[in-house]
Amino acid sequence: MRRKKRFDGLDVLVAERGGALLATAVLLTGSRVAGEDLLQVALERLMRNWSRVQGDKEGYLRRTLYHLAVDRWRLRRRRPEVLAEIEPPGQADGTEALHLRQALIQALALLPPRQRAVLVLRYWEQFSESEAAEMLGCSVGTVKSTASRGLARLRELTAAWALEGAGMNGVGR
Amino acid sequence: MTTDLEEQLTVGMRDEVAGLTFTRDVLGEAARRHRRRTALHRTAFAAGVVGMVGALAAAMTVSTGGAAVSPGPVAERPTATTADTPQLRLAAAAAASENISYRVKVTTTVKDKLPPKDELPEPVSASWVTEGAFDPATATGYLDSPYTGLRPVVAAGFEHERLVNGVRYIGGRDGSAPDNGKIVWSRYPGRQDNLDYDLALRGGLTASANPQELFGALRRAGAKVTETRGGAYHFEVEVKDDPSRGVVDRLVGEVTLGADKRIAKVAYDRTASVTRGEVYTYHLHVVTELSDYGTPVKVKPPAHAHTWPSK
Repeated sequence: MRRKKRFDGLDVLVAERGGALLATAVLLTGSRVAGEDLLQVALERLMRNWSRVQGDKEGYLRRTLYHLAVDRWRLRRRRPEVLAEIEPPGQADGTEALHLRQALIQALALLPPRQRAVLVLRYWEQFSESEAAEMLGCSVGTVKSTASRGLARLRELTAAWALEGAGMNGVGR
Repeated sequence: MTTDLEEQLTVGMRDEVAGLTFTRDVLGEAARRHRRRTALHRTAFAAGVVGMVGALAAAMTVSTGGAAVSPGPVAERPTATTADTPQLRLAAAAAASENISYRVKVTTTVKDKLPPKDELPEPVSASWVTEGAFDPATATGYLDSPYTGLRPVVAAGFEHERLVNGVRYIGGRDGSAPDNGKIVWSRYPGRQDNLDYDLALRGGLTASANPQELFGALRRAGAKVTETRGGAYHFEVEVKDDPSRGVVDRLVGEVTLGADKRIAKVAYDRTASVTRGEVYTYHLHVVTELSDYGTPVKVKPPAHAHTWPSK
């Protein structure tokens, strides 16, 4: 196939690392469909710049995912996901942590793209602040403040969830 | 609380993507789009709406068996000549508008009912304007499309772009503090000879994309063009895209020529139906105005720009 000739090794890369890249894309966008679209665009960018990307192709893809998510994806989202249809636990039954995690993931989708990207870098990729800063092309201070704001927002959203006890609709700003 | 929240967030992310697999051939689709883009770039007319109308005209002349007007040096560029069919006259107008500098203003209006004010975390744009200028001879131009709220996914683009002798810069808000108005610039690697100023026409991932792609699709779809009483050109086309992309586009509009017989305005209604995932149909009205042909375009690169995406 032409693709194999022109983009030698890309099939293998996607086969072996596609799942991990998709996971990052899904967390960055908040849905599988949008995550697949984001990864597709990143792959197109890689193909376009194939001859100029030496060495770490996965690193290029990953970096592109983050930059697309921060710089462009925001403009593409007409109808971002809202926190809905999540019922708070009515009583302590051992599933509170699970509910909280689900609420956190949905709240993540409400954050501004850069805050979301920073939190994905820090808590999914387990990047240090300096590594996250390098990935996003910003300062460590920016990563710190952005992560802080993102966590504060998540705390705010999930606190509202816990307090309101009536679903998460309308929590967004 | 913070530590627990961070721990729960980490575990929650892992749970969320555990066992995740692709639901479609993302790599194959990327390769197809890349090939299509590459092929279209080789045969494309000038950038932007000029290119769009040129391609439309080419599509028409091909469909009628005629020969498209081939581009030539700017100095020899004619105004529209005595072509005697709507298609040839439009082709002549497109050719007359190619390879010459101009100003552009694109006004996009969302015709759909907007969602309730508090439904979304960010405001939604009902209408927005993109303004700029472009000189194909020097591959220099700029675009400004200030962010006024969320836009339909089929009309994506950057807030600011500059092209300086083929080097493209994109500018967007600082995501860490989007309300302070600060624009962060990035420089694209490599060089390019066109500017993606057709914000209103770009469909991004799943729609008709840039004018070249759009009219590549038009060529395949077979657009219908008629001349109106006022000397404008009415066009209608439905772009049935690859089913895996999940968007059907329908464009109905008019191309209006100026006194110099160059393209002055392209106005159309766009209906973009997203058929994959959450089904939704966007209705947009787009007016693209071209003016000041031949005016010099001078653009300075931004003072600070990092490479995007950096390796």
